[in-house]
Amino acid sequence: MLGSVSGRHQSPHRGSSVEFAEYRRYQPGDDLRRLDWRAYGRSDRYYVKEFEADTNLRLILVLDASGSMAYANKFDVARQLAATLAYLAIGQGDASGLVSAWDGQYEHMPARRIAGQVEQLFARMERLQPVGDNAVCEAISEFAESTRQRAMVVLISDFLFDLDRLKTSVEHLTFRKHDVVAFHVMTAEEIRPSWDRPVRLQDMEGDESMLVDPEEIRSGYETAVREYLTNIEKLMHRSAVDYHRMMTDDAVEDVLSRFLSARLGDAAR
Amino acid sequence: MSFLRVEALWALPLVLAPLIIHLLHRRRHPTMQWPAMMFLYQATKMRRGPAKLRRFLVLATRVAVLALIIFALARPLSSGLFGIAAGRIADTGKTVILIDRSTSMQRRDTLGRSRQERGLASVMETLQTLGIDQPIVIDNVTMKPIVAADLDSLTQTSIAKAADARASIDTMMMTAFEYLANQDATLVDVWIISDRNASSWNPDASTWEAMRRFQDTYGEGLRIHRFDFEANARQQNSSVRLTDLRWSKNQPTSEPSQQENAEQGVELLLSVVVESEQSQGTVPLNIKIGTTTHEVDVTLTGGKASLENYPLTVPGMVTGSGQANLYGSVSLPTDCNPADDDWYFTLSPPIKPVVAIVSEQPCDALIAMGEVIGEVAFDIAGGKLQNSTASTGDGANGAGQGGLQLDGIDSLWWQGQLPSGETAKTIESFCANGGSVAFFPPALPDTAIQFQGVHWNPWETGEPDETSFAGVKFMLDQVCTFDGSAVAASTLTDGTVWLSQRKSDRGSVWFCGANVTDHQNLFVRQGLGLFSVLAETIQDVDRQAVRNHEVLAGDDAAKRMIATATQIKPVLVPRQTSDGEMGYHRGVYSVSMGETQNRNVAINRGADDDRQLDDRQLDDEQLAALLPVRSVNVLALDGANLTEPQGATRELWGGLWLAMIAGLLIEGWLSLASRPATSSTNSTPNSSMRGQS
Repeated sequence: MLGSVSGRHQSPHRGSSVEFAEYRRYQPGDDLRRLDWRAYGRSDRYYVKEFEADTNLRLILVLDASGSMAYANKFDVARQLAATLAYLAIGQGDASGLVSAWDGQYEHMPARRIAGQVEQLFARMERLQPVGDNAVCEAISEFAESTRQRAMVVLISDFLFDLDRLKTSVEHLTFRKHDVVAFHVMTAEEIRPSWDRPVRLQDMEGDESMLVDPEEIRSGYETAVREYLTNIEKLMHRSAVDYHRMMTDDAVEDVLSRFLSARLGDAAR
Repeated sequence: MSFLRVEALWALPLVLAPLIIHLLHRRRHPTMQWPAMMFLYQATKMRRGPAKLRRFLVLATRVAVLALIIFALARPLSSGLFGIAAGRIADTGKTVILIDRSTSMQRRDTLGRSRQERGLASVMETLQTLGIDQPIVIDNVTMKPIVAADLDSLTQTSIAKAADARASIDTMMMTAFEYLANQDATLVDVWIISDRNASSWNPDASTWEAMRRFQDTYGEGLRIHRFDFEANARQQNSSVRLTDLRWSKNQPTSEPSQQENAEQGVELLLSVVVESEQSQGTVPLNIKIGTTTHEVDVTLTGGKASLENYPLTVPGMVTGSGQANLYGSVSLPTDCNPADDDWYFTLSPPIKPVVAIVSEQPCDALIAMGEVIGEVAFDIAGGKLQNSTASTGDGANGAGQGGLQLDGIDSLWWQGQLPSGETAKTIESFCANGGSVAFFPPALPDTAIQFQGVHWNPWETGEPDETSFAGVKFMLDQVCTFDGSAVAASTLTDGTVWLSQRKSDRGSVWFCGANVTDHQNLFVRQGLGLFSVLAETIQDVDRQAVRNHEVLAGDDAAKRMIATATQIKPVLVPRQTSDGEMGYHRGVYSVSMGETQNRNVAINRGADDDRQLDDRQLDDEQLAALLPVRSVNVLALDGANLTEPQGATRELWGGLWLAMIAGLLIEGWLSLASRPATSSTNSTPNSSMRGQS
């Protein structure tokens, strides 16, 4: 993790921590203080001793507050997840910010590690109401374009929009060397609706409605969902996005636990 | 398709219930917010067609099952055009069965069932299905409408049996319509158990025209069912018919030769026609006379074979001996129609010609000539019977209660005004059966009276004129000419026709303008001319035809037998018949007329034309012309199919149940195809859909 101050996250740069990393042949311009004279004595060659550098984390939480997130408890779960991540980051001295998108708008709270940042983030999340069109892609692109410092970008959304748009946005982030994590929040009902009779469905992000006969549409719907899930997994994998799908009835702590364990495992390797 | 309980069809709108419920269900749908519209749009494109089809199929199946249930309640019948009439007939209509028992209907299929039996069984089964147990039956023998006690009685009475009388479908139908008109029936089903045989349908009869009025009167209320019997091509029918039977003219007829004749026998000339569906081959012909049997092979050419004047010697027969009780038959081996495989005849020994004389005044010249040429059976002068010879028998006793009776007479000599009315008809019938009549002019000819278009003119008296006839020359001094269509047989020198002949079927009519009442007349006084004329009339008579006691089965035969007989006994019959149907079945019968008079009568099938096979069929167009009603149901019975159903109609319970079960299974399958998805969604929240990190 690339940070501006020393922190608890491993930096992509070699630094001056106590943890030895490797020997490297001396190159002109290297700090002579880092030459390992014992190694020179043994091999008559100049080696520079490198150590792992620790840095702080900039965590950017991208929270989808579009209308579709209002279905069931998706937004509550998303907020809970975002708040927990922000709290953990700031608690360990990392900077944390928030990008929220709703009804075609988005707002960026820059990442800070100042006192009171958690309260500000919580308050912001508290005020957010899921409504209107989805603007996550626009918010991501804007963030990627405007922020030069690398960060961990955590996308929390139901991703119920065109995957081509998502792909563009995510690739924009990865191109900027951001570490992108995606939490895909879904409900079981969305995957396999339990309609047992014809029902009129009103779009939560628009004015359209559709009269649906379950017998008539069930098979096609499930096929569409399967295709969508397969496609988004492929998209995230190809874009090197750490993708996690969570159902709203999953415990947030379990999801985070799996996520953090995986992260720690990666760091250990 | 028809229904026994038509009122159940009023429930048919109930089949719309699934559709209505479906539509109501759709209208009662709730509205809910939905986030994943993108899946719906995609699914709508992908799966709506098949799902819609399945939904349509489910609805259609439900509708069909409901319809089947209602149909089942309506008790449908399978009978094609038999139609809706069945239901109404079962309730209020009249059912009439016309049964053709004639020869062609006795043709049998490979199981030995005749057309009549199969048709009747089919109708019975149908009526039983419809619940009709007292139909009105008219057959071609009784020709009377009879209300059957029950359906079983149809097969137990004589109407189920064969007869040999020609059928007359037109008369039977007319009888039926007249009966129905008296019953005020408005809904009528007429079953015609007959084939297409033209002689049965009698398409040229004027009755059909009158019947069309009845058919028009009933309109839609009349439904006619007829049968088509498919002939089995593997079975070929043949028929035999005796066309002529006569004693050889070379027989001695004088009394002194009786002993000689008895030893040598008498020669019989027999003519037979055999027709067959088999175009070529040899057919054994069995000729039975008394106890003697002759077998002759005849060769078919083009499906026809004949024997012309085939000589047979009848031993023991004596000319003029009065042995009138011999009989015989000509028969073929039994084939698919045994009713036309034989022909019966009686034999009368060759006898002197028998003449009857009717005159205004006792005519000695005719009486004398009659006794010279043959035997005078009776002599009526001035309307009074003068003499009658008992030996002629057979009712040849002149004017009886029924008018002039000419049974057993070979020639009638009639002097007086030409006959008219019933007498004329009797004489015409006599001629048609082979008799001959010689008319002589009355004293005062009435030009207004005609016989077969010929009438006498006034007498013409002049100088004697020479004429000739049959090679004999003689003089005529008084002639009564006549006008009309007749062939001149002899003329005077000035061309005046005084003798002419008019052929009438097998017999002939002579008009002789000479005076036979005046003793002083040259024609009578010389006698040669009179003899030659009268001898010629006798010569022309088919008196050698020995079949004067042979009649065709039918009403005429029945009337003659019943009218003259005190007792009738079958002598040589192919089947036993009931007393009430005497005259309608072929065979030889012994007819008693009092204590002493017995004679044999041969009755044969009532074919009225030369063609004996039933191949003279009416085509569809001709039948349609005879039955112009809209509702004519044709029931085809295939003679080659051994397992064909008998009934023309049957209830469709089995089929309906199968269809209902199939419909319910299909509906269930179509419904099940989508239900498991719903249940699984409810029970398992889709762990497989969880993301893989």
